[in-house]
Amino acid sequence: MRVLLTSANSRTAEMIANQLRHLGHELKLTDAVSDESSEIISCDLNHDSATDDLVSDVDAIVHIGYEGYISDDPSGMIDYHTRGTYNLLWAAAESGVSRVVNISTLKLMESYEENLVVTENWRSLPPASDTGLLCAHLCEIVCKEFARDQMLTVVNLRFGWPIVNGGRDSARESGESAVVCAIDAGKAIDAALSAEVDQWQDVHIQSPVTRQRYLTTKAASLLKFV
Amino acid sequence: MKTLILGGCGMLGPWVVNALKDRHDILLTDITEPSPEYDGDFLKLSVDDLDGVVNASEGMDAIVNLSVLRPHRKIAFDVNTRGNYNMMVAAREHRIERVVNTGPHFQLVGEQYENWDFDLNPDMPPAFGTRLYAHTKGLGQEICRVFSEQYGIYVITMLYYNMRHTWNWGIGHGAQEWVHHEDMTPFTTAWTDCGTAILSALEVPLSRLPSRCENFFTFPEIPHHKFNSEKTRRILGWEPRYHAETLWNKEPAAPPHHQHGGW
Repeated sequence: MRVLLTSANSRTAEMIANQLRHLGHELKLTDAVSDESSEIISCDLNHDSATDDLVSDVDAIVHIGYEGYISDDPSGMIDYHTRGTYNLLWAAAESGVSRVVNISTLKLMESYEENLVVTENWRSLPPASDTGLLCAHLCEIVCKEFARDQMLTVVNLRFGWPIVNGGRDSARESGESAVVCAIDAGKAIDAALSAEVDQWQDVHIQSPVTRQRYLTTKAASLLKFV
Repeated sequence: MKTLILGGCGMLGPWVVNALKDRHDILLTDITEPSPEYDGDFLKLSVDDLDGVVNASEGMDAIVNLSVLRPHRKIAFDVNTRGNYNMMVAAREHRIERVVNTGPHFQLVGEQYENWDFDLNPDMPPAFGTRLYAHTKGLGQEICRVFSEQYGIYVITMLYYNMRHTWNWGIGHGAQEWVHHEDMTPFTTAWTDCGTAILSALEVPLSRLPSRCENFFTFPEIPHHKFNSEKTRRILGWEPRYHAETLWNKEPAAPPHHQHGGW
């Protein structure tokens, strides 16, 4: 599948890119900032032909909604994650892209105590004091409204933290209860790109570890993530 | 109450100023100058200017946000989404306890509701869809909600749909013929009442609010049962002066005699 990956300079996107390539996908990379020599297409997701061109020849989009675009300017971050996402998805819908995978974070659920069985049926709790998480939350909402209007199918993957390189051994060695390894993240995205899902679908993803913090039963049933 | 009004020179602003001016100290702001009829304090300010909004908010007891931009994609996000972020940062920085926000009804009840359902009320989960105006205002409202939850700021959001001047409200007194009116928007409010609704939001005791973030539909009691504004009258005590009977009643304002229809 030919996939557009946003915020390609970010660490999260780099790990995802490696995994998706390994699984046979052809990637088109973009970021708000890019060197001319890089394969990454520079685009700030404005309402213009550059954004239209980004989505013109792809089957699906993997959009980094958390820790992809980072800036010291909180207002600018909000602008990118709301207006930029809106422009991207609008262009995608118009060009016939049918599937978007939004990469969000389980940190939106971190305020719930660890002893609670938090699943996709729990409301997210973004803190206003953390601009990155507020942006992740707003980005999810933009995506959801496109799905609600049936313009696109969106799988919203909320990844655990930290995201560590490698496989499940790395996840276990981290000692973190909400960790996800890069290989699991890649497999989840790969499945989300083609799984039969509703127009909008939240899915929680983390690697299996001792005292695992978040259930992944929905991922198991929808994405065969085990 | 010292009140900062953002975007106060638009369609709603004059009616809000009219309702507030004798009871509150107003600092009116907008990117355009007010009418010469306005004789209060004015500051030229765009709501997308974070530092400007924070500075203008210093010493205020409340902020009223009337700013809105509908058609232009970038400016709509700048004003309707980031503008709300700037306002809430300002409220947090200066410990302003009360924010009165405004918006269109569909920042809460979008087409997915309106085209299907009845008894739509302001406590429904937001579903604003992708229409630019609704979408950008809906995101702005979500920013208000998140800030309200974390910092304890009271956000009272007044939602509007169709506003009418009472002069073109209906056929009016003295009409001689029976007139069958066209269908009306079942969420219609007189401009003057739009202003007094903001006054009610500004003056309602905070202890009467069920939570720190509440939405209200701003229209008088209308018999359609499409939208429900009962909460606005019950909690805010807002009593609109105009009830729009001539918009939903086929009969003209001039009956044949005073007992007509009475028996």
